[in-house]
Amino acid sequence: MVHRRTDKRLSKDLDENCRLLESVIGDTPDLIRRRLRLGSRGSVEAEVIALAGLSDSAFVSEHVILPILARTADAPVTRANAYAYVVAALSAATDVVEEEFLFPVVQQLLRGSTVVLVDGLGRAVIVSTGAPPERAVAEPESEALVRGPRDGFNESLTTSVALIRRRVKAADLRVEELTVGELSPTLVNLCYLKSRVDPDVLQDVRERIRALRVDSLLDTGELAEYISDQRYPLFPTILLTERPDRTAAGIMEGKVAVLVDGSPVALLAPNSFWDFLMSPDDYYQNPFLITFLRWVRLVAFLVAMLAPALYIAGTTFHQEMIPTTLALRIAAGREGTAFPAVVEALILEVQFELLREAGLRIPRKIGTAVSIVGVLVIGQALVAAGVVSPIMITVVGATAVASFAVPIFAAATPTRLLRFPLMVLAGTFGIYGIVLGTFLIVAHVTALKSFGRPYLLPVAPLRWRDLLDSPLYRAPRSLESQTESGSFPAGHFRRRSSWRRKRWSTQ
Amino acid sequence: MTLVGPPQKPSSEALSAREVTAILGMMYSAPIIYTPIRMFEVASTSAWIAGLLSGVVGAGTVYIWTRLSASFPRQTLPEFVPRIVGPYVGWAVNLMFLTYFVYEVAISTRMISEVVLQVLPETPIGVIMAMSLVTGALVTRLGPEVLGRMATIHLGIALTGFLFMVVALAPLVQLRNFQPFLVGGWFPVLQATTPPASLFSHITLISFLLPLVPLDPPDENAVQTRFRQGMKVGMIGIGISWLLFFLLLVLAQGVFSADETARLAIPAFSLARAIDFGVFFERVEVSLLALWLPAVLIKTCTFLYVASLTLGHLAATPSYRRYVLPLAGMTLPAAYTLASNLPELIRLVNGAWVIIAIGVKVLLPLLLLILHLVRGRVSSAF
Repeated sequence: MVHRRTDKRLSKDLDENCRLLESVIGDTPDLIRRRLRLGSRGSVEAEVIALAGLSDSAFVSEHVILPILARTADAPVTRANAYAYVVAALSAATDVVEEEFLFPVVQQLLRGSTVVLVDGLGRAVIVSTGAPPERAVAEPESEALVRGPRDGFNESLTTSVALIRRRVKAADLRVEELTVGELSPTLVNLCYLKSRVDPDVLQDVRERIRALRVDSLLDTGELAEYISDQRYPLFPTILLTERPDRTAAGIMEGKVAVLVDGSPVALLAPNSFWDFLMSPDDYYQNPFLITFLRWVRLVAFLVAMLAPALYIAGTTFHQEMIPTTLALRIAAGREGTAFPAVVEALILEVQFELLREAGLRIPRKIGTAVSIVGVLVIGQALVAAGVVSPIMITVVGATAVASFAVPIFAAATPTRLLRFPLMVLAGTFGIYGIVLGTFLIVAHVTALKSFGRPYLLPVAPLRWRDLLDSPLYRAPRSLESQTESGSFPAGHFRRRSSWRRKRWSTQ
Repeated sequence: MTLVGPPQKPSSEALSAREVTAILGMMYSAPIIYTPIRMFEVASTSAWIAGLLSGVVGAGTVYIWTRLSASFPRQTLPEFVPRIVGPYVGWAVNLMFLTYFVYEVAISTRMISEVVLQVLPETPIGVIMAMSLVTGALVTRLGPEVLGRMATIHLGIALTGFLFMVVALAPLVQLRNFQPFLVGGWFPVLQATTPPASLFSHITLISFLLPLVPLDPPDENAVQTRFRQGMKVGMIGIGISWLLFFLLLVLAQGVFSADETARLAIPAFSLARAIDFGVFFERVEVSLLALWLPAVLIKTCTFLYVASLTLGHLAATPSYRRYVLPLAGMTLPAAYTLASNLPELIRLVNGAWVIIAIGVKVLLPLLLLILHLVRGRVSSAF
């Protein structure tokens, strides 16, 4: 196998080069090879090599093979001047490069480019003809908005970058190309606004990506885990989004966006915890409504994590804190129930997780049937069998609904995972257990950093000015001039532009 | 034996002045549970005057500690004590401080357990103590930066909770419960200010936390800058603690009367029980527990941190983290053997412990400050 570190220089013998290439790629049926005889006498040979499917066959014929044949048909081509004729023939192509080593040639071939090898020439001429199968730009299903743009990234890096450029028309938008993967090198693009990005963060992102030693990179989520600050990631510190408008907004704030070839998801860094509770349409709607909705999301996050635990603690240890009428109703509902509240909650939560996991994989046509079975199993059979009480179904139902109210899917992950230990703590130590568990969670979150920046900024450490656009409040635009970076003409998202100027290495 | 250890401040651990203030604001937590009882026993209806005067005591303590700490703007207590009294005496003084800090953790832990026992009467107290100590140790290992930020978050919640408490209980306050005052003269009132004095002497922490606040720019007048910074931070932090403590004191006296409060096991709990918002929101003592516990845990963690830092210094090792768990383990038997029950614990912390606290946290630093000033004068004279 050819490797960056064991690379070979191309020879001047065409057959030797073809053998070399074939030994690396293998005798694969999708490898297109066309041997051409150049010149009026056909004395010089060349070979056009491409991979079917990855390259555009029509483009290869029209813009590579035909021009070469046309240009050299009546020309006195020799081994000495063949290269000049070939380059001249390809001058109409937009992207033509030359490579002297085997490794980059193979890489370009695997990305859909067409390689032209000429006898007597110790290098390859590579024409960009890549046209891999591509999905149309569509609305991201997991990040739907009520109002706002409907487009989402697709698996093509070029398209994704174009979608960002469409929104960020600043001249200093930079796109850097990196490669990750030893066995299967994958293109990674870094997008940032040169005038706004924190150079330390940019360098940090760049270095973490460059330092990766992995065989392959299939998705942005994989990259996010590799470059995350956390060794044991529980709370997301890197935001993954399929929305170009969210990505563009992040870039305008001074964040770095990372795109991976073959993945429809962009990675944004650095982030605070609150970024995961915000939605792009927060800036397209009434600020007071959004302030209210942000509170709703925060409450939803807390409900998703704590509601079952609080119910267990209340019914098991602290009945006095429940209003009398409600306490009597709960007691009546629990009469005849076989298990203590903590076991009830665990059974229902596990059942819900099973249904959720199954729902993702069940073919759509039988999905409805399974939903009905799920509802019957949860809603009726378990109650009728005395396994759970009706009020517990309400609690778990509210928890489930609350977990879907969090705008970014990844932000709901900790609530799903932490709900279980909190339930056990509540079932064993009541409110004391919940407070201890929550204390540990808050301490963990407070200690987190995203590329050197405190995860709970601007709440802890407290930055009053940045609270104008925070998880608790979205200021009307008339107040925006009070934020630190008042000169930013785009208006929204100027809120945390001060971040890039602050160094967090010691604070 | 190395008597002066290496610097104990990893560069990544830095606090803002606001975070130090918030940590000091958390110090209201443990004393609000036990201090008012003794004050009402001694000063009866004049307890609220003692509460007011205790603020003055607090301000004096802030001055002593800030003056002392600011003299060594970039050093913590165990670092500068040997510089004042010499390495051998300094080592012994640091050991005394360490013992005091460990017992402060033990008292907070025991107080947590006694309060939790009120709502979980069947849970073994050892388990409750062990859980709070393990939690405290885990959080302490994350560093003072985390404690500062957690205190910032919790202070807002605590202030809101107290505001709610005041609003909910205000209609129940009876002004006649504050009269007559100064019946027994000023002596009982002055005597009643000693228990809260131990509360406000928690300003000791400033000598550990203030050096973590970066001095920007690194100026030549670091001593003056640090003094100004320390006074501001200390006055606001201890002021918050005092305000919360005083509010609780006044509410307890106003709602239950002085005599009744002196007989209550935990006045704060009884106040929470008295809250009744439209029949729906009642018996909120468990909610109070949820509000109070994080504060006292932050206090425990902070003292565990300073104890570990002092031990690290005594042992001349560069990191305090390795001592956190062992110290927490050592604290468990200390907390267990402090008292056999809640009344005994309250007697201890309002009696002997107040004297120890004032000795270690007021008189000793005062002595150190005088020594430092005298040595400064003498050396400048020659």
